[in-house]
Amino acid sequence: MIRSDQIFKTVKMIQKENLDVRAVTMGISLMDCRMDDAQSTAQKIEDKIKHLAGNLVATCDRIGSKYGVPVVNKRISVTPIAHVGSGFSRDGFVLLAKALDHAAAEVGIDIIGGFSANVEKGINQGDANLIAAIPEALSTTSKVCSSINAGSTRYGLNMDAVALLGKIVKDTAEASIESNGFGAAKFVIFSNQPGDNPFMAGAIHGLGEAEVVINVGVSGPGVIARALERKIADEGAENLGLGDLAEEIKQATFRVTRCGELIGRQVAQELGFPFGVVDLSLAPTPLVGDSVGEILKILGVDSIGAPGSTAIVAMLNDAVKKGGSFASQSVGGLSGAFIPVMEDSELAAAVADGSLVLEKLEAMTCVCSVGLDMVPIPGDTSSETIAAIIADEMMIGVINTKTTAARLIPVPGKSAGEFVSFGGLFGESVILPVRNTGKSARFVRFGGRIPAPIHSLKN
Amino acid sequence: MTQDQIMVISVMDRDRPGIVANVTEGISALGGNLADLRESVLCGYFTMILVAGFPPEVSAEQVEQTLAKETSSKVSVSLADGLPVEQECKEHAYVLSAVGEDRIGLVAQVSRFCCEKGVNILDFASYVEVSKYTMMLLLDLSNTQSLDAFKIDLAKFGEKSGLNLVLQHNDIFRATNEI
Repeated sequence: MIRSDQIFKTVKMIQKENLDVRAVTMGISLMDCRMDDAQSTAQKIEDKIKHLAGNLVATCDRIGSKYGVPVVNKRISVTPIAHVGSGFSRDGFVLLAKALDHAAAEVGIDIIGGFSANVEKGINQGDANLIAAIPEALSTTSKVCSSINAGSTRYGLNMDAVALLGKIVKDTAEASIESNGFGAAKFVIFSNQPGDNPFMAGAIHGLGEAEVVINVGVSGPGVIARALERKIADEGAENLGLGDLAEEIKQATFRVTRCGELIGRQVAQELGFPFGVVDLSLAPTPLVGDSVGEILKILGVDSIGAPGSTAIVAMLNDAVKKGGSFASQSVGGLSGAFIPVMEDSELAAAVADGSLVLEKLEAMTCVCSVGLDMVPIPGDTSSETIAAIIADEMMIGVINTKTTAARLIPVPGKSAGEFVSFGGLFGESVILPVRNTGKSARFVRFGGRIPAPIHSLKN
Repeated sequence: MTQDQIMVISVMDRDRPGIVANVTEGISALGGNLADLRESVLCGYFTMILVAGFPPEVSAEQVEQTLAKETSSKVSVSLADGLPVEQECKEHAYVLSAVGEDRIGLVAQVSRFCCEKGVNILDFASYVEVSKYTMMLLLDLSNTQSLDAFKIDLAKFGEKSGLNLVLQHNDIFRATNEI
């Protein structure tokens, strides 16, 4: 039998620290769903998802109950739809988005990702039609998420795409004006997008993936925050160095990852599909005590955004990867710490009191696992400025051989300092000011491609 | 080896160096082959249970007399029913932790509850800290029809007995603590 102190550590983690599995995401290939026209392709997509994922929610709930570790979100990612619908019109792509939405509702999952395209080097006709369909697709469906990969370390950054996407972000927000631009909260632009990420809005079932696969996102930052608090309370802050705290993060991540993988593998086994990866990312929710921002405060900055914040995110991100990769047989996805402003109550509070600004957030994204995530900006920000913010963020990823993403929400009719709330997991925040707006248009209009960095030439 | 008689031997004594050596030397002198052994020391008292196979001509009484000779150890030997089988119930192994104010009858209450629900206790450890009594039970829930119903009954029992009870699958503890 396991030692009683180990049992109590685990019991505390589960009972008091709300250990859960943040996401079980079933990746489904839709490559065989292509028919002659959009209508019958949409039908085939719906049928395939319903057939494969019919038991996903019930299985996750049953396994969660057996182990006393709930699976919070059940999700589906699909083959980037640009590949499935290439040759269809803009309206045809909207139809495919609605099919995804119907299927998702039918099987009872939270969100479905994969209304996506990869335009890192160029935009083909299918990509162009899918991108044109995004504003309508996201404003007329409730569960569909969209992502576009606009750059990579291998190929550089497609600035023609970025310029277009700056406009699409704005159009998507405006198409859902009645919900404060919520459509844009379901749309994310990537560089180096992984094909096995279980987290939304950027989950896709990459082209290199199997027919069906089960990926898992581990529990949130709350468990790590509590482990650090306990360590400091037990041993005294004066007796601890940052190395000790990094070690504690590693150990807590190890336990969290093991739980996630156990549940994921059980779900995969019951459903009869292969297990894919564990994504080690710490994904906050708006709930108090489930915040990455809180970890920054525990690790010694009094305000998030104060000097030192970037260093702490870097240490956290690295410790999470080390503990998690030792625990898991297969790590993938994004695997680090997320800093989504609206979804993290402490980050949102730091925006509200002015200590966290867009530029500092951008600096922190150089060392976190994703990027500018769930950032509400004024609705009148020009599409060129939005494109330029995206370009800055993408190039951080391209140059540093890491994934970066931008999920910006230009909230229609609202200005910096005003409040916006999407409710539920999408959270709320004060709108961040964008400084130097309107001064990047000449850069964006050049278009073309920012060449791949020299270290892309590895062969 | 299949001709061997399997015997279960229990030994109890005040703890001191040499008990295991004495007992196992005695077993080997009689041609006994050890199959398994567990020992534990509680409040200065040593206890051990062993399973061993002996040649057909050796009797249980003979083993008991040999092992108890010239020692203060209390030895008891029984012939086992068939071959030793290790219990395997990975799928239904749960850990129940129970914490409450130390008082008479806590273990009796918990074990009676398990017994009434047809739940076998595979392992049990407990300790007292100030006035808090903590129990760790490894349970086999393979006879439990509905886990959810058992959890509801357990919650009611916890409320009635004033114990803080947490039930968790054993795999969770293995996953989070074993490398």
